[in-house]
Amino acid sequence: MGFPGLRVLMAGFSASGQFLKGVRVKSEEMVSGVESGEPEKLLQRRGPLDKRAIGKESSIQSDRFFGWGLKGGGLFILALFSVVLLVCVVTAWPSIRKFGFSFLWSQAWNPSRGIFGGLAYLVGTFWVTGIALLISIPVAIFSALFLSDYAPKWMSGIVSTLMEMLAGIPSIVFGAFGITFMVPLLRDHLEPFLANTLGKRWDFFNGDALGYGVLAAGIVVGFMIVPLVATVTRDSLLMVPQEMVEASYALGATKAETLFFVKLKAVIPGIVGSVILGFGRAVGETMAVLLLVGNQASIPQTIQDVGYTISSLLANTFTYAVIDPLYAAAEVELGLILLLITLVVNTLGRELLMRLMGGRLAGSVGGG
Amino acid sequence: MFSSDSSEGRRGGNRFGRMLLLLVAVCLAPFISPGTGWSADSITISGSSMLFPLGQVWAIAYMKSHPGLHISVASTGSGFGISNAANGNITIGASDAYLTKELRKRYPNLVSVPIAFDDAQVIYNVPGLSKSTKLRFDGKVLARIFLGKIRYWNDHQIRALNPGVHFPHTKIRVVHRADASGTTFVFTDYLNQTSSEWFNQVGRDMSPAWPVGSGYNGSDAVVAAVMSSPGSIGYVGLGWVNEYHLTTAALKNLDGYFVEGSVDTIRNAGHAALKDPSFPDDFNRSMVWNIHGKNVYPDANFEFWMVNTNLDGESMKHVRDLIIWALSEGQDAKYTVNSGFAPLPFRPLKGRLDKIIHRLLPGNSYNERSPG
Repeated sequence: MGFPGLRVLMAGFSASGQFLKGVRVKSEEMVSGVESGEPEKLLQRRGPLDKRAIGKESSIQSDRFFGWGLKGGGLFILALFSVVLLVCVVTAWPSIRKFGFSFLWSQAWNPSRGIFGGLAYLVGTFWVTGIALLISIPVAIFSALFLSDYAPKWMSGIVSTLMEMLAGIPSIVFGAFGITFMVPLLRDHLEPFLANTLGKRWDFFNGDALGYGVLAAGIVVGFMIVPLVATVTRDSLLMVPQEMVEASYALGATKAETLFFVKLKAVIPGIVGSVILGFGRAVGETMAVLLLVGNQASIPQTIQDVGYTISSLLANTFTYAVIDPLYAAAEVELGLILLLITLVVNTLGRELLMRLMGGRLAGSVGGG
Repeated sequence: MFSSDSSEGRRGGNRFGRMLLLLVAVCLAPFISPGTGWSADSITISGSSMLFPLGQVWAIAYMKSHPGLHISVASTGSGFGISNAANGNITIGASDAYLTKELRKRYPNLVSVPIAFDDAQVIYNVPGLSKSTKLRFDGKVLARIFLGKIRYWNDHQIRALNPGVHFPHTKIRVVHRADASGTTFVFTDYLNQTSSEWFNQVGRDMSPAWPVGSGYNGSDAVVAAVMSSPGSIGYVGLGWVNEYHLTTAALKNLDGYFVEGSVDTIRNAGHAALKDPSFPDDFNRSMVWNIHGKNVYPDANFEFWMVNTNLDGESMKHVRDLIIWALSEGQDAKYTVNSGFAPLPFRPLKGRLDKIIHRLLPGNSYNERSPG
């Protein structure tokens, strides 16, 4: 179709298909049941088929409507994406025309004077996303490795279920957890500790221990995307062909060596894919970030500083911004930039993977 | 491939088509039906989150005495209230801010009706200070604090205003609202009128570009942040101060007196504004700072309902009745003071309100009650 957005969307869908593993297994069972079933049962199944042959014409008719329905569903996604993009561009146009590219590197944001520059919000978004990914990737990979290879069966079942439940918790709950638990912890213990140890040497870790800030928001968003990254990675690990593992053992590798050099290497595409998904979630995360990030439109200089992200700015002020077309345009432009960033990261990530795996990927982000 | 076309199939197709049409019709019905959002017997009030609690208690009381009329109240922000009252999506737009010249030009059909008083007050959490110690600020020092130019509590400029108070060498943590807020508008209005530094660098806005500090969503979050982090300073409205028994700072008014915000000092400001012949009849001017008097709080404001003069006759009658009720019985302390507002003074308002009511529904005045 030559439309980049659609491919990315589809990639997203196939990746989310990973979570439908249970369904897939069920259908496999059904197929095998038919193959091994008694012939009488198969004959019984033919009854309704014969009836369908009688009303063939109407069945062809219904096939056609079914086809239309599917086509409609598919085109709807294309239409929806184009409409959203179009509306965003049209709404943002006054700001795009007035500020041009300087919108990206200007920090001046003064609604009452009609001056808008999105740098502080862009930088804040990347701070939070960066901290979130730094925290979640190692934790998620370790937990996935543990669940697929080291955990006893009963434990892996429990932990996997809990992890999937964790992925479904609304973000506002994580935000509340952040305020009641992470903020006091950071304010009273972690941040003073950071300032007294690493902060003595590098100013980057210093700050006045407010609790709120990019660190709090980053940590909580990191927690939120751990289940996402871990589930996809674990599923990929489980799909690594047993022959590869056995070959590795046959060559005399230990369990850890096999896990690290064979299995983990085989699932790099799955990990990168899940990290891309996690990035998408972190970059657009709103409620939890809004509650924790400090909502101050200045560029964070240290890890303890407060900041502002694009999504929390829109959540905080968009209902007010609609009063002034240029103000609304500037905020929608920020949203548009967020959309483009996610598109670019998704597309680049997939291209990179294609290169890396020599085309072996063929459509699925999580394949092993 | 699908060339055969039996009558049965076509009928099936028609049925399918009809169902599809029905579905589309059901989905689109809310968008194409006339009178979007409100009908003659219902009033939608939406806007200012500050006014929301008052709107709610008023709506409940008014609906009890006027069965058959439905009032729905929503908290969506003053900006939303103004713009949606102007384009007819809602019947009444609630706003903390008056209509500036620019807004009046953009929305010429809007009439602003003052319905209560509120204010912005400075709250603080200075370690080592007893609860009974009241701090004093003037606009210049307050602006320098919120600009990040005064960074420690024991700065000589703060000490000069508060002789006898022993301040610790603690960093000042500025706390402000993150969402667009009428309280912010009133607070920055005070800074704007009293400090040229603030005027030049930030200005007056519901959602200004704060140079320092950290932002929180809603007044409750501001109160929580100030209470929990030592050294912080923030601002909230009268209702929050009363609800949490907060210690607030006395602000310097135009005549040099340091006045604390309270129901009385805010009403004094309102009285003074209404007695001032230069105060415009449509109330579209700030009453922050430009009011003289001894016990006049310098950072008070009118709360407004915005009504579109293009409302149809039936709705307008309901709206006018509601407004007259809100301005008379609705001003009772059990509604206003209990929800964190100061009641409007009747007598000085009458002449000016008549003009507003007259603009909404020609030939009527404040005292006239319509039958029913």
